[in-house]
Amino acid sequence: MRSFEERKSEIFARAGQMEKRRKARLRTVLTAILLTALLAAGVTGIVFAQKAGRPVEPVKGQEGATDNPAEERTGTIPDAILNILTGRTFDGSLGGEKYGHNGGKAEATNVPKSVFIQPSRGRPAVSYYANEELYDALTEKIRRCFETCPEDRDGDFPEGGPDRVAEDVYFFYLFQNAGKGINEDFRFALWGDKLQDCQSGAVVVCGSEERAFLTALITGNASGN
Amino acid sequence: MENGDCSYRRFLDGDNSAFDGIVKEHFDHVVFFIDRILHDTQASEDVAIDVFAYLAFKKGYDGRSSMRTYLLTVARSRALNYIKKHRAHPTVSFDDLSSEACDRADMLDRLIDDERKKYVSEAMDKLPDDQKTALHLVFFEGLTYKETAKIMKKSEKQVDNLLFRAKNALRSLFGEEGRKYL
Repeated sequence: MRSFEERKSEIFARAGQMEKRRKARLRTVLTAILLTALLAAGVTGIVFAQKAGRPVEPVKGQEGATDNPAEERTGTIPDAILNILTGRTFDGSLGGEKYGHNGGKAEATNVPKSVFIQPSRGRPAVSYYANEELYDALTEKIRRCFETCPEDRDGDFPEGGPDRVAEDVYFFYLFQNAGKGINEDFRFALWGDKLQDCQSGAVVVCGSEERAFLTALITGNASGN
Repeated sequence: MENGDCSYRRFLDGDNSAFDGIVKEHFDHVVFFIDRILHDTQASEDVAIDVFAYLAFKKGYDGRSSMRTYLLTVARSRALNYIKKHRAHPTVSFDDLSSEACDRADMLDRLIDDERKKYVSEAMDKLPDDQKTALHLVFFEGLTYKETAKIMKKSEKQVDNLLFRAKNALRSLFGEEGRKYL
């Protein structure tokens, strides 16, 4: 057995070790708390940043919507759409060679008579798609365009026929929310009386009613009826 | 107030030498008690050092029970932890066995000067752990049922029952000749 002095020194040595272990544990816990807090702050920051970059604006007619359509579509993409619609400028950034447009060249003078249904990060588009009635109406209208003018198809229509269009529209909407670029998000373009499926290249000629609806949808005047 | 309490207060006030008094007064008793549980004097001494280190480090003794009761409570808990930790790898060398026997004999000589108690102490090793612990605390440490119950985390009634059974068991172990020790 140990002598008294040995015991005593051993006791205080172990007490010192216990103190060291306690401090180490405290450090570990504090570090874990700090890291968790940083992680939480980071995630919160990302969420806020995402929200800030994708504001949702009320649809016209809904509570909180303004009477002025132009006021509703602030932001990069709606402005670009508005420019096309109003014929002010066209810099080619929304179309491009891929979609059979004017090659994506900046031609501010020659404004095409086309309307792009731009399911983008732009607020109006988000609002339209967030509104079930308008979404259904849009889907139906586009489906009808492809149904009623099958002879004008140009290119490969998505497998599954017109119903598939509706799915694609929906898919497209989800897709753009994943943060893809503008050009990749492109799905449909309304060229005068021709509606083009930008992904498949299929083109159909719309009747005046369909064209009016789609145009109104873009300009914010569609009611969904 | 018990001496251990006064020494501990002085230790808390910064007088490290006061701790010597506590160690001197209680260390052997703690080792003896732990040895009842571990049956290994060297390991018991090691665990006892841990108990006192805990007392010095944690400074958790609040004077609500006696210093002995507090130390034995911590000792029991540490001893059970030790068993849990070392059950899978029991290692005892032959050298240890011989020195172990010497150590235990020394300790018994120091702590038990009564022939009757020595006789009982040896017989107690054959009892179940709980009965052994209860008997040790009451019979050798002179603690009350209440203090024993606190250390063993049992009710006083349970301690009473344990002691009753332990005494009966010892009576049957001792036979007629040993009855005089009880």
